Amino acid sequence: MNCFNEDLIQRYIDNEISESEKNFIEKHIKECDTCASKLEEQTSLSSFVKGEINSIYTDNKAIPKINIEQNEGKIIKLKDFIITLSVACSIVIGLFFFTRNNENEINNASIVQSIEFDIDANKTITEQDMIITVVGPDGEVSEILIN
Amino acid sequence: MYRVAMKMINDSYSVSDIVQDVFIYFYEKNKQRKKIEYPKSWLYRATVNKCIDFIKQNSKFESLNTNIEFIDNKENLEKSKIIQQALLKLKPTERSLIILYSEGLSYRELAEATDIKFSSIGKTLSRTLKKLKVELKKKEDELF
Repeated sequence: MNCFNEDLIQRYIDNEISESEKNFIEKHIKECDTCASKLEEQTSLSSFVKGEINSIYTDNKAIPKINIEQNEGKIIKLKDFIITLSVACSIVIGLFFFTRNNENEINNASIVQSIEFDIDANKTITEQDMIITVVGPDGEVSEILIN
Repeated sequence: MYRVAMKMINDSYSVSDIVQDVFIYFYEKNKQRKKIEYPKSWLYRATVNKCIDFIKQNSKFESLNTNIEFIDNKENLEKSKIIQQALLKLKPTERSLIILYSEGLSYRELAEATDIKFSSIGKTLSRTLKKLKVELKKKEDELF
């Protein structure tokens, strides 16, 4: 019969053992009284020594929870930074397109400033003279007469 | 760490100093960007080594056992003394191993914190447990 050594028993007690070794021990102790009593003896020795050593210092001081506020703070700051940056970017992009559109509007509007004509009652609407005043983008004023 | 040091030294003032020193050393190591692979085991190892150094330095003097705040009666004080004297009979590595074992460290952590090979932890532990039991018996017989 393959009896096991103290090393294996100790590892079994401390659950530092593979599943196959565990199965082997559990099967073996059912058949071998020597190993079963060895295991019992070593288990009680382990818990006895642990208990004795732990009795030296029994005051279990409550360990305060370690807060990692700094890191959390950094994360929040980073989030804020990303949000601010994205808002700023959208404002800049918006302004860029808005000003571009405005420029186009100014260019268009400045070409045709006003249409002025005097109505001649003796003529039909299609025969009326029409004067269109045009202000160019450079500020030049010109009048176009349409008959 | 504090508990481990208390089990080794049993002097709350010295233990506080030791734990503080270990943390300062740990902080400086980190500051120098020296990588500590297993911080938990490293801290335990450093604490145990510091305690061993302290015991060596103070071995000439009789321990005053200033740690009376948690030993509520004379019987417990005597018991605590017996256990510590029995622990002192072990080799430093064995003493560290058994104290760290009582703290519930895994075999991997025990191997990292002591100079014992991972494959030898079980064997060394079972031997040390028996040795300590014998020492405890001797000390109790001496006293009573």
